[in-house]
Amino acid sequence: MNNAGLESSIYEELRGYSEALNRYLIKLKTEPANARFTPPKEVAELIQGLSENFPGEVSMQLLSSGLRERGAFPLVRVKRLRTALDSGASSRETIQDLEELAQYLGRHQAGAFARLRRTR
Amino acid sequence: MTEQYFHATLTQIEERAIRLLAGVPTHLDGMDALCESCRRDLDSVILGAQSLRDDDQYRDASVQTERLRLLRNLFGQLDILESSAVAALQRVNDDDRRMTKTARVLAEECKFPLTAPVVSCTSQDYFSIDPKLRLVQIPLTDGRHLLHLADLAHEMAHGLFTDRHNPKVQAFKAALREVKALVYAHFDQRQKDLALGRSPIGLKERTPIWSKSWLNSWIVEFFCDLFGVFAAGPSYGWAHLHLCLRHDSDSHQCPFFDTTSHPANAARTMVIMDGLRMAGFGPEADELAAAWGDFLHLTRESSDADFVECYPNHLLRQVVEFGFRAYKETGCQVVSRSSMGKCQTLLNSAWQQFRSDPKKYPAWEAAAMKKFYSEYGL
Repeated sequence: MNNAGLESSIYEELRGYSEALNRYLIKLKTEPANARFTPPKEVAELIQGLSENFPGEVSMQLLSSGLRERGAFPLVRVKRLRTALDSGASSRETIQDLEELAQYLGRHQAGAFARLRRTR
Repeated sequence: MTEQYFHATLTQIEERAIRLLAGVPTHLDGMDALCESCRRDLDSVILGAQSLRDDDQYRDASVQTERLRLLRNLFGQLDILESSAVAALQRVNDDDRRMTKTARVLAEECKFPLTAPVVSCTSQDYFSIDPKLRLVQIPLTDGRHLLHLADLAHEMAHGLFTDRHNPKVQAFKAALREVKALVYAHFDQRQKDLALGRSPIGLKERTPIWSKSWLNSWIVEFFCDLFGVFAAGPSYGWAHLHLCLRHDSDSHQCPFFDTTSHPANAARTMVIMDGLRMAGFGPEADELAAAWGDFLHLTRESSDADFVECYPNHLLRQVVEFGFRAYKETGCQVVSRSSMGKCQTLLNSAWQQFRSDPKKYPAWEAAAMKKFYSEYGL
């Protein structure tokens, strides 16, 4: 009943999303500009989860409530990103949105890891 | 950051993972799944490090931020594996084997829908689980005693909220979503009401913290407590009370400045007692309630206005109802006096013995454990 279980599952979930998101970003940045890519399942799930009010994963709950509190990444932007990813076409704007999301995810991951270290 | 730095660091990660991989046993009775998970995860770290180091796409100047994030992920993954699962597998002893067997038997008896976890007596801070690796860590000597072992059910239950796509756990996930919606609606309305008139100092500021704590983690903790009740019966309630006695804590704690991961012990006790009644253990719930009253008298603690605001009775009740429904819809078996399996009987008998004749309890416990584990050759 200590926090380690909760924190490790949050960290692992965030790490999984971060892994997929950063790899996807690398692909978008290094492949030809007109290439079309379907986002990996984890990225699609991340964007979907962020647009839900009550996601099933604890990590997603933290992310989405945090995003909304900050106000910097409002729901309308999440939805715009979702539409862009569904179409498979990448634009400068989409990449910028994904970069901000990856940055935000990284900050949450750092927090989860620090808490995990304290609990172990 | 130079290419050489990435190269050297990723090579170090690769070597460290290979060294850890060499230390994972090939076969450990009852723990092969954990060995396999470790090998798989270490393999993925090695492949990840090689790919980040050698693939041309990662050398592009425009992706170095992403490359660094991926490198940090590898470090994080490796640090966790090294300090938990690999460390646990390298020191497996008889206590670990007995505890792993206990978790497995309990999982069978309650029809737990996932693989039972491996248990390692390597925790520095009570019970915890790494749900992805399905590794429970408990303190070094807790495996020699029975009174806290019902808490294994609580840790096992955390796995129900981690499996993302497994259809067997969807009932709990659906219940989680429904309770979240109720909690959100309650605190949202409460904030609107408070905005209309005068309210106690700071209450408007504290309400969002409580709401966030509920949504972020408290509901999951309540559900895991309920799983413990439905899987291990009254022994779970007594183990909870025992834990409350063991540590300094504020039983009616309501977070003030920031969210907390676990709800107050008093709220958990209310949920546990309600869960026991729902499972048909009314008289046992009454006994636990009386003991809880004695405990509060001893610690001179009592509920206050904040506690009532933070843990509304109707929300606690909804948690129990949704938790009970999810448990049954998952296909798990609610323990009853007449249907207890060997492990459930052992855990509940231990508490009966401990409470009825504490002096003779140590001898009884030693004999009961010997008998139980000898049946499994342990």
